[in-house]
Amino acid sequence: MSTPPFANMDELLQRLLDDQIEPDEMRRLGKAIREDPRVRDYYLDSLLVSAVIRRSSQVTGELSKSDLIRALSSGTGRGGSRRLGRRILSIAALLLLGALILASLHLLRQRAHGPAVGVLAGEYEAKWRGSHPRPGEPVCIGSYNLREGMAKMDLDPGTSLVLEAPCQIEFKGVGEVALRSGRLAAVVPTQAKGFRVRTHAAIITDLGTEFGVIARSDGSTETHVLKGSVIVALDPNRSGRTASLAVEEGQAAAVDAGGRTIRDGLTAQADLFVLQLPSIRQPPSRAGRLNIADIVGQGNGRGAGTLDRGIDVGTGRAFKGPAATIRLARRNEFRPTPEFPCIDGVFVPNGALGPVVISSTGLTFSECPRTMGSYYGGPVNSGKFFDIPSQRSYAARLDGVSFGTSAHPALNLHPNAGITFDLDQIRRENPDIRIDRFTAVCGVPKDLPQPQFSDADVWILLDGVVRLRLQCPVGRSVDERVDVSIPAQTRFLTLIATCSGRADYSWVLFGDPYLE
Amino acid sequence: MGQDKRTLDFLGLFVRHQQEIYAYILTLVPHVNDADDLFQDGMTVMWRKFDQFKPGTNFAAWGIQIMRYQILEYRRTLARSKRVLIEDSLFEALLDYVPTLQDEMAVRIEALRKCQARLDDRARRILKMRYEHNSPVEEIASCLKVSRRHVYHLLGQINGVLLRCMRRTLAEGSRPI
Repeated sequence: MSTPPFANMDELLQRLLDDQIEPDEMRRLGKAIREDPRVRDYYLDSLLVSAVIRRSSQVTGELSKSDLIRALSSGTGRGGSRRLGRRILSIAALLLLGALILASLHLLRQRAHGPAVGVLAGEYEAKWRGSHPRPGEPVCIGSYNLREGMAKMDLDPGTSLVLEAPCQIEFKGVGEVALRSGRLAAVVPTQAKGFRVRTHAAIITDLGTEFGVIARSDGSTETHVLKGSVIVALDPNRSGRTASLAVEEGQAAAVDAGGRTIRDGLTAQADLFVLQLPSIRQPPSRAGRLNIADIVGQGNGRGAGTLDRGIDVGTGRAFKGPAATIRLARRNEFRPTPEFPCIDGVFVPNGALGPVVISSTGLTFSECPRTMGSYYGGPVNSGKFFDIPSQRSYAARLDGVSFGTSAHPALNLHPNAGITFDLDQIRRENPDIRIDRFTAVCGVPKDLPQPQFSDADVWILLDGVVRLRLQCPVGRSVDERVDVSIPAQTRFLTLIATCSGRADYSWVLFGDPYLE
Repeated sequence: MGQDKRTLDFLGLFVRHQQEIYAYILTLVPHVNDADDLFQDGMTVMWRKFDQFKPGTNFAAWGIQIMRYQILEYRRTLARSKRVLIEDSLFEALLDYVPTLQDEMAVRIEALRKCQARLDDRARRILKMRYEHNSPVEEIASCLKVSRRHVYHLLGQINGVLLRCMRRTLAEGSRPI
């Protein structure tokens, strides 16, 4: 079979190869492979194609440069190779074995095997692709690929780097790194002055500083100087142009993807970077806590819910998120959610349209600001957001950690939306769990396809009383730990996200949202 | 077996059969980075055990037996992790089924090699990025200035071209003269 047996099978296979397939997708694909011989054959043939190209383009390709190996691989000696003396042949063979191993080590896995340039000082929720050091182990010349979380590296002679996933970096030697993609923050002491970060388009040379660099996937680079100053220069090998610019404390500069221009006069954003690793979060044990994102996914708070399932705030009915369209609510209306027994209801908050009712008992949200009344579906058990212009879904990260997974659940609450949980019902269904507090990490992810259009606010209410307000203004990356204590008699927990203007890219997310 | 000859023999056989061996791993462990790790570790084991290989027998089949144990051990190690592995029932089904294809594997690989050489430059460039550089789809999308979904579509198209070509080549090869 040379055409995929179902529409997105090619995409699933590619994501499978990259280890990016979701568990439910894997289950569906596995079932199809087991039950349908056409799917099985397509799977095997497609992976054969991948395997043949991967091997032919790497080890074989490298080794085929050698006449001797060609002779070896054909299994017959050629006249030329016969003329080689036995001794030379033996040495060559041993060298080639070495080359084979080196090719495997360096080309196949891109392992870092050069001399040590520092040490991995610490990690936070880190997951790596390929070879990597453990905390306390040396960081060597070579490439590293941080897929999740953060990592702190202390380099000789004193430079400290914090990488935030997803980040691909190559250590080229003492005092120089190539940031292939992602984000790093560097603290460079005086003795390490001259430390350089190369990106696809730019060369950033430190002059004794703290600075952050973002190498975006389109090839462009941003440099933000938090202390001291740096020189940002175009890479002449990239564009043939030479230009450089001193960037001072509090300023930022951007180099375009083609490496042709440096844009200065920008303001540095310290909140885009992390200079110290966060403290390790308590592992999300299921015992003694309930995941409210799971409840929004029609689960029981213990992992039975469906990922990407949410509640339409316009109807109170379940829907599959994240939403791909913007809707408008023309009046304040509290919508009960009969399909979700532990949820009292949902609503679109807009202070301009009169009292905003937030519970079936008639509680109101008197502080509700004026909003446009626009909404994107509603709360969803998901870490994904949908970017309407590009028609792509984005996985949200906070502190370099991907949310919306079984390890790190997420409640997506794109403004303007509110949801009220019925804690009494939750207590009845979970008599083994004492509900004392609501904890989560809350914010707007850093890597948005476009900046937020307007300021957003997150509100947490207990029985209609505001207990926490978190502001997420335009141009600032907010990522806060939330810990709200819940008195024993409290019946309603309400989470609300509002936006003063257009809510585009105000991607409010509650990560690890637990009642405990 | 002298050490020099042993080395040469191993290299010759390994280079000739590596694609069959790697294809076996990738069908059972369809994550490129893990498959690469297993391939490399398995190669070391094969080299260590090469004295046990009987010259004249099927080197790929011998290597695949070694890889089978490596793969089972890998799954045992990862069983408690949160990694998304192919489910046990599917894995076991493939573990039984894949060896039945082994006899024709070398011919299929040879056909694919020929077909790969016939691809146009753009298709080859995309395959090179995807498989040689192991570039994520997002990166390829960015380079080509297209959406990620379009890259999946392109990779699917190239895959389809190669599979059709492979089938045609195999059919031509088996046609009676």
